[in-house]
Amino acid sequence: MLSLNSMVWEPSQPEAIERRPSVSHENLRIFDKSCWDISQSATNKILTGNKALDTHFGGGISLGHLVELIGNSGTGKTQMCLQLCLNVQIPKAAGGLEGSALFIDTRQDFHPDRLMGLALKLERQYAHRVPEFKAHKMLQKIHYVRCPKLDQLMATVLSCHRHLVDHPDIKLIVIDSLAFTLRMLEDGAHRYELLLELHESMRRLQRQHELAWVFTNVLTHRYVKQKFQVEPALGDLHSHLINERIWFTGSSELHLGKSWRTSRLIP
Amino acid sequence: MTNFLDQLPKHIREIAEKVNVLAPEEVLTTPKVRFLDTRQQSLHTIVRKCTPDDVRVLKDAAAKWLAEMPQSADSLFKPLVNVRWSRVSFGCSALDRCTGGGVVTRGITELCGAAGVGKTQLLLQLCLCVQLPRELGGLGKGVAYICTESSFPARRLLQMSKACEKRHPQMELNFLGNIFVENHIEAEPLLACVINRIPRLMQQHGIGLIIIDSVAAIFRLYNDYLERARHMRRLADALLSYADKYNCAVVCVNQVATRDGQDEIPCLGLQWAHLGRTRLRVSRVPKQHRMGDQLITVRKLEILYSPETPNDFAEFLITADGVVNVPEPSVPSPPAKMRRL
Repeated sequence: MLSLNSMVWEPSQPEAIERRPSVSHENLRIFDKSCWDISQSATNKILTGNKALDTHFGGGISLGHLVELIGNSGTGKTQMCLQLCLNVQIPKAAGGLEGSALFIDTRQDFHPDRLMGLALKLERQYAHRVPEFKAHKMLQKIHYVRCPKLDQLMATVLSCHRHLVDHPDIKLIVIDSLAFTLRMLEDGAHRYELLLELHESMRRLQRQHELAWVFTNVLTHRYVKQKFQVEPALGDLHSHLINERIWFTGSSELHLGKSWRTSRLIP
Repeated sequence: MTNFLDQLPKHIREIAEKVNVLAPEEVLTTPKVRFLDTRQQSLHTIVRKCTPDDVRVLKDAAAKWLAEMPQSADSLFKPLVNVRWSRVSFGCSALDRCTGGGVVTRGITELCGAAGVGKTQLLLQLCLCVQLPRELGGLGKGVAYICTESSFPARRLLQMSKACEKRHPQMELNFLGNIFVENHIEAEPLLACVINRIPRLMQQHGIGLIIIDSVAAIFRLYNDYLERARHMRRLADALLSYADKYNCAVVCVNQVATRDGQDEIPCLGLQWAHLGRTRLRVSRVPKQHRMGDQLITVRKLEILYSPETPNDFAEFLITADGVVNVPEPSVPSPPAKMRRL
């Protein structure tokens, strides 16, 4: 098992040493924010484009969160991923983040034509407010990697920090889908260890950069007490490690909550 | 090309050699605990204890070795890159319009429908169309066809290929010679065929389309659902890796079942549904079309889900020549009363 000790960041790599402030400086920074400061600071949120979801989250998905989109095939997860990649680029003049996005494609679900269609739609939507926000510019700011195999997915996630140095404006990293390649592994324990390692590196990246991770997951049957139950794939610990879980159902309704029993419909 | 391990510092290299994990791919997919595990070693060989940091350095080096540079999305439209998203036309304009140009060469396309609605006819048409050159909607490549239900309808294909030759007289293609057929009725030989023999076939011949007709016939026989899920994933993993490596389209046929009072639910449950990328359904429409002296039932192709096209449908007919559009009815003359006005 992974001990707790190994999950903690140890300062052996050069980045960590740079990050570590001197003791006196650290003393100054301790408890330097009051609740008031936090409530007044600028919100860093990515609009989802879904009205109900945006009001619920107070303006979209927060940076610094791990958000999971879950649902069966054909319920709109991939479309939401693509839409978020575009929405993160909304210019500051229109209240956006003006960032860029990294799309990690494991399921081969990505299609550039579809992305172009959504970009043109967003361009029309913002044409009167920010006329220089053009579709072909949006596409330049979406970075795409395909990872058909698990080792490539691990390599991409572990080397994201190098890519972030070259493109510091990346605010969103999407994995579509996280469960897909992991579940191709036949050994459950092995899969679980690697999932934790992925989580560890995702969290480590979030401590150094301000960004949001969005990934998709699927529902699966789990054999509990001699009955098959429909549950999210990747297990319970994974549910605790993510911040938000958005449920997609067939009838364009969204639910929010870690498990289906405690989830609530977003009006 | 230098070796991956040679560029590492000595003590890091020893960690990898100790557990006999040498390739960068293996380093990344080996859990961290296996490197830290010292139970297998005798005490005097552990000169230097391996720390979690050492493992992290090792994994980071492997990640750097393997990671691909992300491409910007606009560069995906350039030639040579955009072949990844090419399509195999159905050879029927109504179906091509509804599916956005045919079957995509990414992921698994699933075709489901009741018995006798024309799934195999659609597949045969795809077998012919994929051999046409790119400007005519094909890929200019051959087909690997795995039958699991009945024997391959070769005579029907011959009939359709003659019609296809008539449509494209300038093409000098040996349509039947580029279709490689295998018959399997059990899961084990099917998996062995897909995992071992198809890669060899793909190296020898250009294959642009892999068809399994049908997966349901094989996997519906299982009693052990966990094993079934494992085998389906193994099959899909192999098929997806070929689709990605050789840019070929993969079409799997599924059967339908009735469940909870709902008609025509595709079989094999959630496990299979997650593995597909696009799901198409063929059904009959209670409508007939008169062509010459015979009545032909109109059929319908629906997109149940697809990441890039809206859920549309199109109607088509199956004639002696293959899959064709429903001809536009000739414009009826307005009734006599209207004409007078």
